[in-house]
Amino acid sequence: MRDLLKTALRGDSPTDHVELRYHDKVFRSLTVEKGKLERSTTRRRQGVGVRVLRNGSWGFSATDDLSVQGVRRAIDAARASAGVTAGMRSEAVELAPATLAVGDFSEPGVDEVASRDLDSRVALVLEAERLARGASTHIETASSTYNEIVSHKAIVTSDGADVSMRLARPELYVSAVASRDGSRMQVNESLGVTGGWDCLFRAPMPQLAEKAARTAIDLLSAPHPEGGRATVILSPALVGLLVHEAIGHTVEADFVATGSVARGKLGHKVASDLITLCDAGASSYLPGAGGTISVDDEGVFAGRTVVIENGVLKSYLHDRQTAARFGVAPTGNARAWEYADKPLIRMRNTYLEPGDTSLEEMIASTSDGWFLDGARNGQADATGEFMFGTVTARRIRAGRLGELVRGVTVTGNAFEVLRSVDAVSSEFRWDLGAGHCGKGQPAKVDAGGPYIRCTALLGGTQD
Amino acid sequence: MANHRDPRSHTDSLLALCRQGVDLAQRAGATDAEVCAEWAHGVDAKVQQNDLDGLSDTEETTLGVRVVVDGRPGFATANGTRSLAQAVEDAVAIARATAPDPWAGFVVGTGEVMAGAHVCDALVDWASPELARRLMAAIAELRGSDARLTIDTAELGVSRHARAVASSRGVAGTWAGTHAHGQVFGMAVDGDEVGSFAYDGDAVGSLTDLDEALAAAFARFSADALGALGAGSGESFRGTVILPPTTASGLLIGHAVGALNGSGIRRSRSPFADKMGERVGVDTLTVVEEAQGLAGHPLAPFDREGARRQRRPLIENGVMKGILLDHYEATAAGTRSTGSALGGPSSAPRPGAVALSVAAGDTPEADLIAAQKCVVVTRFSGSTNPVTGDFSGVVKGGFLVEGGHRRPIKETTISGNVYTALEAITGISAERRLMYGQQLLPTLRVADVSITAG
Repeated sequence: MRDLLKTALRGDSPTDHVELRYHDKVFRSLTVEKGKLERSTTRRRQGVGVRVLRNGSWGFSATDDLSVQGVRRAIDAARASAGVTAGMRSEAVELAPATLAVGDFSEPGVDEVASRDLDSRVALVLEAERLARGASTHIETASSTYNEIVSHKAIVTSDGADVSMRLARPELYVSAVASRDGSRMQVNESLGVTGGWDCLFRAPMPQLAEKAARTAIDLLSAPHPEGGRATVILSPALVGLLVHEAIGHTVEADFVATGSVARGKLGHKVASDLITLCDAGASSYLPGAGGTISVDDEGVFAGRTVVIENGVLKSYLHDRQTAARFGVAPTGNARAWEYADKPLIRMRNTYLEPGDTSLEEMIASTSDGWFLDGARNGQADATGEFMFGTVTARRIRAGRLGELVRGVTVTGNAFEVLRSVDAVSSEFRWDLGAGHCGKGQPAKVDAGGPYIRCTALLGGTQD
Repeated sequence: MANHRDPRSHTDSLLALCRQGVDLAQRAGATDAEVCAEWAHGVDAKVQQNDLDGLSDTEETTLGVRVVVDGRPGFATANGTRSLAQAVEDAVAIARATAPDPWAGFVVGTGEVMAGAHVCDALVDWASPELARRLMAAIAELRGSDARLTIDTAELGVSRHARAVASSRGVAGTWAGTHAHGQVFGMAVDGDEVGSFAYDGDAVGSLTDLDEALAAAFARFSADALGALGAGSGESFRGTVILPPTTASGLLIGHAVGALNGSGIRRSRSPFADKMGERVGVDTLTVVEEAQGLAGHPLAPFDREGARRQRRPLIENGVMKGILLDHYEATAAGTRSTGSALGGPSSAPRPGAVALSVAAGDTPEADLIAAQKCVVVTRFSGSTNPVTGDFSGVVKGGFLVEGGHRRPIKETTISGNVYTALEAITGISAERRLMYGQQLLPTLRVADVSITAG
């Protein structure tokens, strides 16, 4: 496909920047409920997305016509769009210079996932659902879903990027609904990686199914907590949500340019000395992080960006356009979900560096607080105010874990919360691998880190 | 020569493609087959960081193939007309790997083609330079009204689409439509203070309606963004919240209608499973499935799988009157489809409400808000468990109203239960807002919600 793109580009206007991105995505999904295959889908989508930068303005077009002539027509359409808008911008778009990738940058596990037969996928979801449903007589219903993306991209730009990439992203979800005495509780557990099945099932599948069922049953009799400001220990899943939703979005340079709370804060102390926060295309510490990419969708290498170092804000996340505007090098964060989407600044694998305290020590040194685990969802605001839902909350009193209560909503100002961090554990886990980020279009991301102790507001029940 | 951008020029070829797919599937071993195809052409102008980001022009044909092979169902989707054979092959392969399902099958049609269209000729011919100019003019006016407003993204676009569906069971239908849509997302920044996100937008079926709809949406955005500045701490109490139409939809009505979904009911995931004819909300609550579309936004006369659509009450005066069924769920329940199959060719049909309305009350919105101490939930950022109905989340851009005084608040969470809240609605506004041509909702006042301030 790189050859077709290069042929389509041959002889094109040397004054325009042209970016051609072929993307072939195969998505498979199977869902089992009550022992029955409820849904099974194969979705194939392929085409070429074209960006043309002409006279300081972008034009974009997308086509599912994969002939050279079809791609050339799309280039013409994008060029015409750029020509229309060139005089309407107040500031001309420029692209920062970058070392552009040439070659193949495929991730491991693609062939293993793509060649697996349909029957083995069906058997997997049937077994996961059976284990969750059979865990207890209190499990009223269960379901499991296996999703898999196998993606092939080729990127050719007029200034030298010439890349192909293949990757596989399998995910497994298990949901259990428990009921007793008129009370019902639903708990979802999930795994997701960039890699093969061996990587996905480093933690055996039965553990996932049993955890969903057990947690749902345990929560049946758990009370709602009383809300208020509290000392909390956040699990790696919740740390991942915090660094992704509450910090990561505020340091995306397009959003910084709009006026996020991180604007003008480079070099400022924004967090506790214990906090070092990174966003990387590679999977640090443990393999298989869900947002892993080697090269972004502008053909720029997706390196490791230290966003906060020992509490000091060091960098924003950039594509080539914002990098030129801010006078820095691009960080390889331009990503597009499918061929018909324009690349946007998106995170990849976002994490806190681990510290040197153990979780056990952290709990033992907490006189009054909460241990929060399990990520339900999360969102953040321009103000840095964030919200995320937790699956479980367990009381800590005098250094010991106490009663379980239903999951709570945690909210606060992200930078204030990070300033309040007084302990960071040595354990590390990626824990958002089955998650997607939404910003006009989805992006596969991961996030994680150690356990941390901080102060935040818990949403509870007022009598 | 036909105008390629006119969706009406694509319906016949799409229907022929569907019929070709049905034939291919049957030759590949399918007992029965259905193919849905859609052509879509979109042109969008986009603003990012207060400046024009550019224009995009995308065109795509998508195919969805459903088959039943000896009682075993399969579904696959692909894009590009060249992919028809691949999609048929995928669907048949999935069916062969799937256990027989007694409820799998297709709507039975008459063999006659159901055809419809809602096409605005001005939108067919609307040129992209005008799109960009109009968006930039709207943004300039918005930012000129108050320099504190900052735009993260804004978009103005036109969509032209045509769809066809055909099956081996005599279903055949075509639809062509156009619409324009605009939206704005950003906040207000005043010195060092950054306000909460605000977002608004709308869609129209006719170019003549666009300016008014866009101006109203941008005015709401401006009021929300500027109103969020100066936010202070809220108060913790158990009491009343005001849900404007967007929040009423996302937090309450959307989940209530979701609980009427035949799939959730069959799978024991709905608290409304045994409630037909029983009270599920206050007696002023009436929710209608507007299956033929709301004013100015007519819909295809048939659903995703070719069943006739009909307008029906779902909840009437607080009493559950209807559930949402596609052919599969209707077969499982031993009844007929309600014409409520949603989706396009890129997904298998699923039951749901394509459009809905909530009946207006008799209280002016201003009186609803002024009546007592309450929190106005401009936006809700949180989660709801669809099985239990428990919700918990943060109020965004909200206000605390007390004694006639209204002030913006931050770091305030609310929690409660959707299904009990339906019975705690203490007021419904006389005014309603049409949102994206799909939902017509009033503002709701709901009592007994837990409110926690930081």
